[in-house]
Amino acid sequence: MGNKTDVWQGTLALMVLKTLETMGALHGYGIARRIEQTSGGQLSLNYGTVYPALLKLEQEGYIASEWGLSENNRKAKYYRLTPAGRKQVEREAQDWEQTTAIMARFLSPAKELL
Amino acid sequence: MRQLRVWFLRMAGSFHKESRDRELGQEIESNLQLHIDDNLRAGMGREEARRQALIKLGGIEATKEAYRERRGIPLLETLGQDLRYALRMMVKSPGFTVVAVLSLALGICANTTIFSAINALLFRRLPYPDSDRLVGIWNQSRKERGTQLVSTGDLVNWRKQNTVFDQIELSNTFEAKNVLAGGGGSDRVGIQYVTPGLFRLLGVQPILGRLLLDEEARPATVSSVLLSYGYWRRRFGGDPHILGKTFFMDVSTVTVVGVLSPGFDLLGTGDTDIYQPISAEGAAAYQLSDRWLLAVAKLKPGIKLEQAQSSMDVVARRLEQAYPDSNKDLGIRVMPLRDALFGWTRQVLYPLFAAVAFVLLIACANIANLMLSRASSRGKEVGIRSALGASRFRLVRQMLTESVLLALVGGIVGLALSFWGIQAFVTLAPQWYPQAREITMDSRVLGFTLAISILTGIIFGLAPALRASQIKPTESLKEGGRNSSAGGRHRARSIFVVAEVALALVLLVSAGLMMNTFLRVLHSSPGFRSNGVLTLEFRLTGTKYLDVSPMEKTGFDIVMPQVDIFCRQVLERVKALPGVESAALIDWLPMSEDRTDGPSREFAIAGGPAAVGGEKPNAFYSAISPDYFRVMQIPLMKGRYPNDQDTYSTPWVVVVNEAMAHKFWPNQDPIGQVITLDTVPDEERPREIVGVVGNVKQFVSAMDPRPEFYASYLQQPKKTPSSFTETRLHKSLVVRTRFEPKSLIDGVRNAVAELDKDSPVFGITTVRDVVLHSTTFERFIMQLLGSFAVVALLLAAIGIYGVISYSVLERSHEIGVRMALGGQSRQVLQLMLKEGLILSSLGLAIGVAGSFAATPLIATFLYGVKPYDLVTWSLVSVFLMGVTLLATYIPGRRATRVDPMVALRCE
Repeated sequence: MGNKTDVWQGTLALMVLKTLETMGALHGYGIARRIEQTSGGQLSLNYGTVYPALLKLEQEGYIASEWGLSENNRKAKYYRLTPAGRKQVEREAQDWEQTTAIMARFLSPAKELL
Repeated sequence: MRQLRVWFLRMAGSFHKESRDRELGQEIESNLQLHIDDNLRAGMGREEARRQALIKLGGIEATKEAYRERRGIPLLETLGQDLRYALRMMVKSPGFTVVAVLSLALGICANTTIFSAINALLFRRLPYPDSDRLVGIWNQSRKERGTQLVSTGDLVNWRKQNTVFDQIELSNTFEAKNVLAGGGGSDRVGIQYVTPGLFRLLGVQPILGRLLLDEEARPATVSSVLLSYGYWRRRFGGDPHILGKTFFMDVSTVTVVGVLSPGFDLLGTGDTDIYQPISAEGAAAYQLSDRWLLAVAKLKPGIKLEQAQSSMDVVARRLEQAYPDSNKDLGIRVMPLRDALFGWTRQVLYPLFAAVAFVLLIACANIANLMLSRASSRGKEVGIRSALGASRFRLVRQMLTESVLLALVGGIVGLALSFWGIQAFVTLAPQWYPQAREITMDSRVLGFTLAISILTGIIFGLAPALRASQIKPTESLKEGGRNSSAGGRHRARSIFVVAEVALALVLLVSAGLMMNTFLRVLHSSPGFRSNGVLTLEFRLTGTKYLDVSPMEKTGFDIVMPQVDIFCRQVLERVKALPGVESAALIDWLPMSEDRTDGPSREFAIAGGPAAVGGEKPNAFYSAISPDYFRVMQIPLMKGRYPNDQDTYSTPWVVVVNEAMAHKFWPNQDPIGQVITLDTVPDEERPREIVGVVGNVKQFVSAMDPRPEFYASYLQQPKKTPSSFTETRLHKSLVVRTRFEPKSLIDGVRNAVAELDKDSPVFGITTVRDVVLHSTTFERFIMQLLGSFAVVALLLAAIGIYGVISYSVLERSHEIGVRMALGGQSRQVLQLMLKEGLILSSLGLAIGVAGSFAATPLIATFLYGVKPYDLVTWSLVSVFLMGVTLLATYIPGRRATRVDPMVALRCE
C-alpha cells in the first residue's frame, strides 16, 4: 500500500456524511470509491468497512436507506442524508476544523510568534 | 436520546436475523457487482475484475461479521444462543429437568410462602397516610428486657414535654370484652379503647356519621362510640339509621355516632366491634401507674427516629425525677409503628424463614450434584467447545445460563405452588395470628422470588460450571479416555452430600423438638379430665347485677346480690336436665382465651413473710361453685373441697393447689394457714386454707401450672375494683354429662339463656375442644417445621442415592476387577456401604454442630423439652442415618450384580 494512509477511526463517519452531502443519494460502493477519489488516492479503504459505518449512522438517524436502481440498471441500496444528518455534518465539520486549527498551532508555533 | 434510539434499534437488531442477513448479503453482492462492472470497463478480464473487487472489499464473511456486531448486541445474542441451547438441553433430558424443577419448586414455594408472611407484617407499609412517620412508644424498664405498656398519665406527661411528635394517642393492645345490650338482643363484643385523636392521627374516615370528638372522652351519662364496619354489617345488617341509637354496656349508656370505613384494623386481629373513647387528662398517681395501653404517635416532619428517641430519653430522665414512685428506672422506647404492633412475630417467622432457606439450600446441593454427574457425560461437548476457541468465561457463562434457566422454571412453578402455600399457611395459622388475610403476593414477593430463583441458579450452577470448564480438550476428546478430573468431581459431590445431610439434620432436630413438645402438650394431663364435659360462658349485664355509682367516690363497683341468685338458678336448672351428672361455675375456664384480668391477686399470709421471692405473695385466683372440682375431676390431695355449707355468713375459706402449697409453705402443712386477699381491704376477711387440690394448667396447656387458689363464689366481697368487674360478671359453666356432651348443647344453652334475655350466652363447646384449641400455635409451628423437615429428608436421601449410584457406575471397572479376582459380593456391598456411611457420619457430625447453633432459635416454642434434648437428638440422628444407609444400600446392591466380564470389556 506504500505511503497511503489508513482511515482513522471516527473520521470515516464524517467522510461518509460529507460525501452524501455533496453527492446526494449513493450506494455503499459509490461512497467508498468517492472517499478514495476525494482523498486524491491518499487514502486506502477496505470497501467492506463502510457497511458497519453506514449501519451505525443509520441507527443514529443521520442517514436513511432504500433500494433503488443504479445507472447501469443494477439493484442497489441507496443512502441519503436525513435533516438530522445535515445538521450533524455541519456540527462535525466545525468541530473538526477547530481541532485541526488548534493542532496546527501546536505543530508550527513559530509562525504565530513571528 | 439518540443513544437510546441506537440501543433500541440494536436490541431490535438482535431479532429477525435471517432476513436482515439476507438483505446484507444482497447489498454486498450488488455493490460487488457494481465494482466488477467498473473494473470490466477499466479493461480487466472477468476473473481479474472479480478478484480485485473482492480484495478491495476485504472479504465478504469478515465484512458481514463486522456488520453483525454493529447491528445487534453481541452479549444479548450469545445469551439468546445460550438460552436456546439450555432449553434444548432441558428438553433432551426430561428426567433430570423434572427432578430438578420439582425440588427447586418445592424449595422456592416454601421460601415464597414464608416471605409473603414476613412481608405482610414486617415489610409492607401500614395502610395509613405518612406511614413512615408513625411510631409506637413504649415504656422500657432500665433493669429488665422487653417493653412495658403505657398509662394515660404517661400520655399527659409526654404530650406536655415532647418536642418531636405532632400528635400522640393511645389504644389498648388487644380488644377488651364486654356486652352490648339493647335493640333486641345482647352481644359479646370486642372493644378497642382509644383516645379520640387516634383516628385523625391515622387518617381513618367514617363511612357513616362522624369520628369521636375530644370532649367525648370525658365521663358523661351517655358515652359516644363508633362501630367497626364488620360489626355494623354483621349485627345491624348495615342499617343506615344506626346513628344516634343507644345501647347499654354494663350499666353505662352508649350512643352510636359513626361507623368506620371497612378495612381499619389497627391491631390486626379483626376482632374489634366497638371503639370507645378514653380520657387522657390529669396525671394523678393511679393514672400514671395503671399501664395498659399502647401509644401511637406521628413524628414531626423531618424528625428522624433516632432524634425522637434521644429526645424522649431526656424526657424519661426528667419524669423519673418528678415521679419517683411510678417512673423509677423507667425509660421510653420509640420504634416504627409496624414494629410496635407486629415486631413480636419475628421470633415466629424468622426461625421458619431459616428453615425454608435450609430446604432450598438442600435442593441446591442436590441439583448441583445431578449437574456434576451430567458434567462427565458432557465432557466431550465441553472439550469440543474449548478446542474451537471458547474461552473459559464463555463456557462458564453458558453453563450458568443453563442452571439459571432451570432455576427460573423452578421459580415459576414454585410461585404457582405458593398460592396454595399461602392458603395452607393462613389455614394452619392460629386464630390470633395478626392480619393473616393480608398475606398476599405483591411486587415485593415477586421480586423476592425472582431474586432467589436467580441466586439459587447461580449457587447450584457455579460449582458444576467451574468444574466443567476446567476439562482439558486434549483429555476429554481422547476416545474412551478416563477422565482425570473424575476424582475431583467425586469429591465435590461428596461435599454436597455431606452438606445436605448436615442441613437436613438441623431441620429434623428442630422439627423433632417441636413434635416432642407437641406430643407432650397433647398427652400431658391438664390437671382435670376434659372428656365428657360441656362448657359455655355467660356474661351478666345491666343494673340488676352491677352498681357503678360509688365508683367515682370510692374507686369500687358494687356487685349486686342478683349475681349469686342468677348463678344458683343456673346450677339448679342445668343440674335438673336429663343426662347431666353435675354442673359447676368458675370465673374463667382454664386454658380459655379470654381471661382479661391480671394473672394474679396479691394476698397477705397471717404470720408469714411480707415478701416471697422478692415480691408480695401472689397467685392465680378463681371463684368457683363448690362442685367445680368434682365436675372437672381435679383430685383432692389433702383436707376438703369447699362445700355448700360455706356461705357469705360462715367463715371464709379457700383451697390451694399443690404448686401454691409448695411455693408458700414448702415445709409446713398449708391446711389451717390463713391468708387475706388485698383486693378489697375493708371487706375481705381472713380465709383459712381447708384443702389442697391437684395442679391445673391455667393458660396454654404447654405451660407449667402456676400457684392458684379457689374460693366459693358465695364468699366474695360485694365491692370490686373496676379492673376485676369483668371477672365478677363473667362465668364459665362446666357440665359433666352422662352421654356425648355435644348432644346436650341446646338444652344447656336454653336453660341458661331463658333466665335473662339481656345477658349473652356464648362459647358453647366441649372442654376437650378448648384444650385442643389451646395448642393451635404449637401445632402450627410443628406442622410447618415438620413438612419442611420431610422435604429436606427426602431431598437428602435422593442426594445420597444419586452419589452412591454414580459411584457404583464409575467404579464398576474396579468392582469388576475385584470380583474377577475372587471378591465376594458381600465385600463389594460393604465397600459401597462404607462410602455412604462415611458421608452420612460426616454430615451428621456437622449437622449436630449446626443444630447446637440453631435450636436456641426455637427455644421459646419448646415446653417440657430442652433445646438439647438428648432423646430427640439421638432418635433423629439414628433415623437420618437409617434413611441415608437405605439410600446407599439400594444402589450398593446393584454393585454386587456387576458382571466382571461386562465391566472389564467396557475398556
